[in-house]
Amino acid sequence: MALMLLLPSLVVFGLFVYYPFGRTIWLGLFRTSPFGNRTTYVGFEQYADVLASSDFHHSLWVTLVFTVMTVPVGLALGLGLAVLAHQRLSGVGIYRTIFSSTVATSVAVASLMFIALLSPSVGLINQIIKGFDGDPIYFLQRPGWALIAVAAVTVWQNLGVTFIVISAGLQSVPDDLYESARLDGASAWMRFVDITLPLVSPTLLFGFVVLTITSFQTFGQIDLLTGGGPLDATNLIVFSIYTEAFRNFNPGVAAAQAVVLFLIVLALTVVQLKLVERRVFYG
Amino acid sequence: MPRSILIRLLALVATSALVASACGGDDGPDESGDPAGTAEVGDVPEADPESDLAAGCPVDVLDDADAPVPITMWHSMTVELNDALVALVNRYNSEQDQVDVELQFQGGYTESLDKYLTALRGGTRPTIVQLEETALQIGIDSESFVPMQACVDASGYSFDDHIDRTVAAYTVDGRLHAMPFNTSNPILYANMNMLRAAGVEELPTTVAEVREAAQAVVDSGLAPAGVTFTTSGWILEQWYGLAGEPFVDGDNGRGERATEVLLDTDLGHEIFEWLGTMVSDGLATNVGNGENAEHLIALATGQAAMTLHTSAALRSVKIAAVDFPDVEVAVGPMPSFGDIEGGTLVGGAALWIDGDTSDEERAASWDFIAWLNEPEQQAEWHAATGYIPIRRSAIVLPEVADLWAAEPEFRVAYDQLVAGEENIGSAGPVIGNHAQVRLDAIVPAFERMWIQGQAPDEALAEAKADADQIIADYTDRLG
Repeated sequence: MALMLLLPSLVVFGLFVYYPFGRTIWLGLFRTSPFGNRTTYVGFEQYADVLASSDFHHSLWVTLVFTVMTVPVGLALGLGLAVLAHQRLSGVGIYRTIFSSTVATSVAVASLMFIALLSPSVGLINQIIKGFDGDPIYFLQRPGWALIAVAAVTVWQNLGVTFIVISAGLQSVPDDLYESARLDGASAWMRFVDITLPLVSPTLLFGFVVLTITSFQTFGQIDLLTGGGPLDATNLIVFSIYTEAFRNFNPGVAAAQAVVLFLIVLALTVVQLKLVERRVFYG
Repeated sequence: MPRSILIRLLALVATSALVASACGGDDGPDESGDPAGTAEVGDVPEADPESDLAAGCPVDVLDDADAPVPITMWHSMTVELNDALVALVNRYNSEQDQVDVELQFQGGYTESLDKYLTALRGGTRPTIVQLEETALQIGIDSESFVPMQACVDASGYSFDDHIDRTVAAYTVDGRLHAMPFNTSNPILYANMNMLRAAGVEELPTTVAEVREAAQAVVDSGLAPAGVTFTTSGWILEQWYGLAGEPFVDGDNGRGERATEVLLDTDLGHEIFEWLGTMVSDGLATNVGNGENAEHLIALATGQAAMTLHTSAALRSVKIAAVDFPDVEVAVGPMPSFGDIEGGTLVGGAALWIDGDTSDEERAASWDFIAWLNEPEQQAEWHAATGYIPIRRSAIVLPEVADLWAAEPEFRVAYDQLVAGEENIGSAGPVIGNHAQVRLDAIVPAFERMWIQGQAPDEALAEAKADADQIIADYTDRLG
């Protein structure tokens, strides 16, 4: 009976997750012609090549830097906005709607907006810089800025989800805790540090893990904003896999990279859960 | 910024993203009729009804079909270009009852090629697909298309009225592989108001004159830079074409499969040196890969006076320019290094007929493709977009004649295409993984030179090593 109930999801997962995943591992063992019609078995040599490739190391490093840039900032901003909006004020619903509105924005729309905002010639941000007699900044066209710019777009894009998730976490904190803390004379800061933070920490952990995984999977904004450039400054790992598979017509190498990425994300998630979970308070 | 301008700029961004990757063209600043020279590579194929190929495209079966034959065409046209293509297809569908064409937009040329190649491994394939010029060798290597020569042979088609080089560009081994449709080449876009204010009365026609004009603009303090460059590989190939020199070995990849890029030549060093010093001397800026039309926006907003861009964007640029009254858009032929002994390359895209098709579908595809190549359609297409009319007789039709009288900019790309000499260099390179050579070898070299100040000779040496490696890897995997 249990198996019967599981069957539908097993079929779906098997067909769309486990089978392609197995195929990917398999594909990584073959050197593939540009059209995938001729393959040569090379075994784990291709995996070894990928692990030794300096381009792959570079992509991993950029992805790591990107993750460090986006995840903590994203969580902190989401938490800040969620605490601000968790007040009994008239009209707070309007603010909640505004704060969560980026959920309704697709990556494509967000990217186009930021292309317009960041344009060196006509972008609002550079207009302001010029207003102060500064030189325009080529946010998306210079290696030093591009990753920061893409990270900013990503933080903005993720903010809505982070806000909603943390807000939900805040709803579950019992009001009487705050009430008695107030009676004891705890300041707003103490109430935040000693009550809010510990009680939403499970939610924060969840957000931390999910944001880390999504930042490792970032693709759309790279494709639209920078195309991985300039000089590979924004060549995040999934984008690199994409170009290897679909622009360089090298599916074997791309598959090997994808499997390595999977192992890294898996390891990272286990470490995150093991290390951070000890510091999480489940009430 | 008023909303309407923003929307136009975004539209321009969309158009530019499409065409930036794909431009080639052909050139020669003087106006002349026939291209001279008949090098073996670059010859226009003749129809041979007796050939073995002809059986692969039985064009007669269309007459026996009972109902309209439905065919699909994957394309990559956006904004004004899309509107123009839709108008053409609607007219074709209503004017005859043998074929019914359905257009399917597939994103940019890269996405379209990706999707097609993925579909080869089991997916829905189109009847016709529009692929950019860099896909020529990949299209041949995939062995998944009906060689267009089959339909040419079967129908006894004549290319007498075509601009030879548009046909020669898609001919490898004496066989036409794809039919030219939307042809473009790079032209010089300039803000004539700014140039005149700087004392430059005429558009520069050589790179030396571009440098002088840029110097005048910078000296007069009118703009921070005279020229904006995009980091795109096709500019480099265009200069090889103009000089009539092959970009890769094996007769530009048309005689034999290419094995190396011929960057380490006097011309190659001259181009890198010029591009590098223009930026290091503060006369030019690099505004990225051009996909967001930053170079055109820089022109529109007075950040620079000149840039190089595809002629296919001319209509979009003119529409956008209405919002910038200070800018007088002027266009001229692609400035050359020294004497022009070839021509700018035939850029844009061509139409391919998929091989997994029935006789009726092939015949229907050929009917439609041949119709698109007719002078009337080429004239309409040209006027709506800026793509070059590839038929000589198209330019005397009222649609083109009136347009050229009213907006002479539109004839620049045509003139430089027909003025080009026909030779191995101007036929353009055929490279296995052409797009990757541009994006992973040439573009990074420009970026290292322009952003990080790498010496031009070092940038060139690294570009050559990277490109040769990419070509070798592709050929090796092809088996």
